[in-house]
Amino acid sequence: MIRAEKLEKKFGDVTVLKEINVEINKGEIISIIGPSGTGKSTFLRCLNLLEKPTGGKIYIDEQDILDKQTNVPKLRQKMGMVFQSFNLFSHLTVLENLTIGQIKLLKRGREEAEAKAKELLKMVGLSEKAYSFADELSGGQKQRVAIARCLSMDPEIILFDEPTSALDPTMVSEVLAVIRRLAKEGMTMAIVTHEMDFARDVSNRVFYMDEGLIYEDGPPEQIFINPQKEKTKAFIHRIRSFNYHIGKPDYDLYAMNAEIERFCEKHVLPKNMIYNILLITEEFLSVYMPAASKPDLNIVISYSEKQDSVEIAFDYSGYEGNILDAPVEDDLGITIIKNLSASVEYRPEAARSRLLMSLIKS
Amino acid sequence: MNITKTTKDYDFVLHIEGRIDIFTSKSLAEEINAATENKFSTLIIDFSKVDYISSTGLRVIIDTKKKINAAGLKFELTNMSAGVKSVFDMTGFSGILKIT
Repeated sequence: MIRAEKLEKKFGDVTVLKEINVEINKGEIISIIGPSGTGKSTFLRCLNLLEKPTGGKIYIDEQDILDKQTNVPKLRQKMGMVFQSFNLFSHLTVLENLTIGQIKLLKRGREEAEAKAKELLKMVGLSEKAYSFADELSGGQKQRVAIARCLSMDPEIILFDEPTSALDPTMVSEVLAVIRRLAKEGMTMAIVTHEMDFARDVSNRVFYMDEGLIYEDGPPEQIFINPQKEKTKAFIHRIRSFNYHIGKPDYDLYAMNAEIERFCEKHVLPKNMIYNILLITEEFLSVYMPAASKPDLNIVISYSEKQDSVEIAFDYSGYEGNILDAPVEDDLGITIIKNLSASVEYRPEAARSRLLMSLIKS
Repeated sequence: MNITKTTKDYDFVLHIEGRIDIFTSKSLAEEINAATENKFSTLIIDFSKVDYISSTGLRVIIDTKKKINAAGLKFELTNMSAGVKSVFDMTGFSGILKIT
């Protein structure tokens, strides 16, 4: 239905979209999620040429919409778009907002257009507002009118650009309910959203966008329950990270501990968890530092707000192999590490090694 | 880490304040060695103001126990916080030391 090939968008020197390759098929309900500023809205706006791509191609039903010969307005009619800020005509009534496009672009008669408009207003639960002006409506009502207006043009796909972001929280559900209904009816949709529960429930495919790319593309079960890539995991699990590098034998344990404690206190970790993090880190260092020929260690402490869990990764060189197998005077330190960890995983990676420890919840 | 000493009858008590970690364990060992020059029947280490101990501290404690017991004297640890006690528990030291 829609295919993007090496789609690129630059604003001046800033590359917002980097060679996106993707295909959207009929019947798919795609949620586009990711941090702010990663190109989600730009991607959507490029698909219907509200933003002109600076590179690549976009095909709609195999027609290249960037080709000068293509009748873009006609192709664009296949795609409806619902904006964060509604974009209704405030000087027109709700009914007129829903008929103007049908009459002017689809050349429908007024009677037919009004019948269609009223049918759609009924569908979005706003029949009684047909003769109100847009400014007389609440935010949620305006957005439902915007969706009805979009549907009045018989689109084959609807692109939603953060449809609930401008709404008071009490009005979000009424708009999401309308979108859920469209999903049930099989409408093809691409939805940029920050409503994660909604995205998980309504979609059958999810794009996680980051770094100007579709960083991970998969079914909601994958993206929301078992994301495969690091940045997706960090986003979904709302992971906050602390990084510390040690590159010399005479490291400052107390300066490091102070930073770790600041990070933990900022995220309101319980005292015994902070104790355990400090203890695991020291026990690791007491094995690693004497064993490493030239210490080079990155410590990454990751706290998942969503799962309320802590993981510590020790990424090191200077010792070949699992540091927990290094010859030591006794196994006290290793016993402590193992007792405080729900799991310990060793991953050799090229010239470095990585030891991942998930801490037991306190 | 600060250490103060008190005596009561035949007990010699070391009151430790602060962290017992990879950098402070050495001075703890030195202080304990110096304390053993005194006459006592029981050496007590008061942990009430210890907020952290790692394996290096445990080694000092277990070495002390061996020396004290070899000399026919008694060795006790008192007033541990739950966090500090848990380190003794997970390493099995709680079973071989007198912790009150």
